[in-house]
Amino acid sequence: MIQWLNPWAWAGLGALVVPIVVHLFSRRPPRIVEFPTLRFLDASALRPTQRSTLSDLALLGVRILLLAAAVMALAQPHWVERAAGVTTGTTSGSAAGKDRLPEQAAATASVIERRSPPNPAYGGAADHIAASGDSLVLFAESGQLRTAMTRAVAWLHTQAAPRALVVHSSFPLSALDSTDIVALPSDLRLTLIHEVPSPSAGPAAIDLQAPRDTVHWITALDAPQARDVVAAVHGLGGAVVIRLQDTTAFAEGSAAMRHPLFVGVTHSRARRSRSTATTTATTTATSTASIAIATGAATRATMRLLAVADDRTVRDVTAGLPTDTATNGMLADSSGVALHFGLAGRTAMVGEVHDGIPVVIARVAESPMLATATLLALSDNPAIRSMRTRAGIDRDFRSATAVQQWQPLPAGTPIGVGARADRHTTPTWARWAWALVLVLAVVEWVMRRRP
Amino acid sequence: MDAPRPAALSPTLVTAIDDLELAARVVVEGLRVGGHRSPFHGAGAEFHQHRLYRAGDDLKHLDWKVYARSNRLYTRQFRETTNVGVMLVLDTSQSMHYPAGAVNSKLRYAVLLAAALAYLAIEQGNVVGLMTLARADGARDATMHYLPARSGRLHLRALLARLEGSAAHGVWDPPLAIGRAAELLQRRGLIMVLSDFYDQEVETQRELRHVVQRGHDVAMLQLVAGDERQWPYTEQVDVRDAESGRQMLVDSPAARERYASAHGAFLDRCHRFAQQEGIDYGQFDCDKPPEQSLRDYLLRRTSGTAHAVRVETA
Repeated sequence: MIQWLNPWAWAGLGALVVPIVVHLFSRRPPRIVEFPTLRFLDASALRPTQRSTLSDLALLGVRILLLAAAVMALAQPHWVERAAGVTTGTTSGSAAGKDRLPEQAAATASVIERRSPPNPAYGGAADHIAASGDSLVLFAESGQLRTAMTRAVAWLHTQAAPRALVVHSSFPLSALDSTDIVALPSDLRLTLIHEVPSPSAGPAAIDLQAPRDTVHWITALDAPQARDVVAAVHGLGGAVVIRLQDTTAFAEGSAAMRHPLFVGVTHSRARRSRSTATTTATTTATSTASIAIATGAATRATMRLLAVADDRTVRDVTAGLPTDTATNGMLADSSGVALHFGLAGRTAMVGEVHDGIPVVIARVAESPMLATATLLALSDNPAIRSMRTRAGIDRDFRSATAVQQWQPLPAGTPIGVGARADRHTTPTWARWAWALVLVLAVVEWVMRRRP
Repeated sequence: MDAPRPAALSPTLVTAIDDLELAARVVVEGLRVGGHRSPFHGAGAEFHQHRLYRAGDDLKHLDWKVYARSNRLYTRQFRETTNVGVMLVLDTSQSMHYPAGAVNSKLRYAVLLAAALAYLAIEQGNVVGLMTLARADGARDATMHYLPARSGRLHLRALLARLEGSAAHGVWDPPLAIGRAAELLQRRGLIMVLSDFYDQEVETQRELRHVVQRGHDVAMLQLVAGDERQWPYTEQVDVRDAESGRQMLVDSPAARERYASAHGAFLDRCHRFAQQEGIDYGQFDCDKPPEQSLRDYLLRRTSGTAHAVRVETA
């Protein structure tokens, strides 16, 4: 199905009036020619000005096409493959709605299961939602994003705090803007997961600045990764913002979270394999790499993360860091554990994520906290796992059986649970439209030059 | 049987030759390839050939013996011993200056034809004169250029120079020009009118008829530019009459068909008139090589087919 990233551009079709008006009012005086005799000619019945002839109409047609193609290019057409099995929730809060609750829940569960059979992370997320009852996963279709969000918020309003909303979408232009986000209740935990159409398209082009500190953006390279992330976040009860740039990542967190955590995916495969050869399973040191923790919200969250981590690697790293009183104070505030560490000059950490893929954290000089968080969130390391257990957030959200444990939502009618985000093709159509504009412009020029 | 024709020179090439004498010679040399006889026949003692009888021929020249054998009327022709007077009447009105700016405009083509005819006639010992007449638009009196019919190379030079200097301007008065030419020729001769015959159609025809009745041999050489057969414009144009300056708005798509039929009818009318009156008629398309057109015309003229047709229709 074709969709338009910028549907407002179609308003530009109004400009088609211009060439029509020009053609209607452009009347050339007839050419004066000399001829031997007029005896074989009849005078014209037309007015002594020239209305557009057929050739002019052809020119008009080309001009209209030219404008239409330009408008179409501005509207940015792209092809969207509709995911199968779309389920739309209801907003009914009546008794009838309650009666339908089990079927709705079952349908929703089956949709999720069908949607992502090879990715058990979804199951974990759903399980968590069912268990905690404090958030709603909303898989909104692009075209109805604003409506779906409104409905979800309306439903959430009937629920007890804390409330969270996760929106997983490709966020086409004009589907959502900052005013929509500002309008949301301030106590609502909002997570927006931006699915990039395709890996080759690079980082997400849309960079909406969240107007509130509880809004977080996740930009994932592809949908499975994004789902992993959101599953992990829900599993841990936190919210994240991840902007993946190629193979590295940048993270930002919020201190308002119950369990602030940073989850991300780093590194190219080549880099991973190289690091496998040079490092041990859980810890190593390279003198060249460093952990550069900048001050700010992200730093604070990272430090809190490090503080709660009982992993030996983390301990080793943090113990070696110089003392910084300001950060020390923050850490003590959040966890009660005094830690002394500062900046720079530290070694790399190596961990293992659940796929058995080693991750070299310190390679990501610009956002080490992200890699650390990845490691901590996804690692199978017993120490880290036990740390998560102690924090009360240990949950095997990678187990496929979690889907089987689906329970109905604790209260109210589930709404807005639908199919996975639409898959977009690379937006090359707009480029073709511009090429068409170019061709038509040449044709128009040739026709205009024609005697 | 015609001899194989040489590749014709293009009309633009021949008409572009600056030296009119050379151009005339080129055209005349082109004529000779066919090996035809002189188109200018007079009366004389030496038998030359038979020709189909045409009304007005002297009955004493009828070959009764041939008639007895073939039941057809033939006139005996004699190689001329006296000169034939040829008067070339050239239309130099503004309408002849078409297509404007082209080297093969009707006037240039007519000048070339006249030069070739003069060259041919004088070379065969005839006397040739030239008459052009033009009146500036609005002027009451016409300017007449007249060169009396004479023979000789010097006269040819003078005639060619006069032809060379002729420029299209104003309007012309065909009855006056033709009538004056016939008068000035003094004795019976050949009057060749080179024009597009657009002006004063009825009066012109009347005058031509008079001239024929006075015993002159008359030839109408009608020049038609290629662009005149079909309406050459596709859009709406403001057409100005070359001679009168009158302007008319013409919607080309609507006028095209009517113009073509009206023009074709006019040409047919001219041709029919010539046939009826025993006038020699030749139509010259300015897009065709002049030597080829002239050759075709002269061949037809010497074979007398035009007159034969007239006799049969009569």
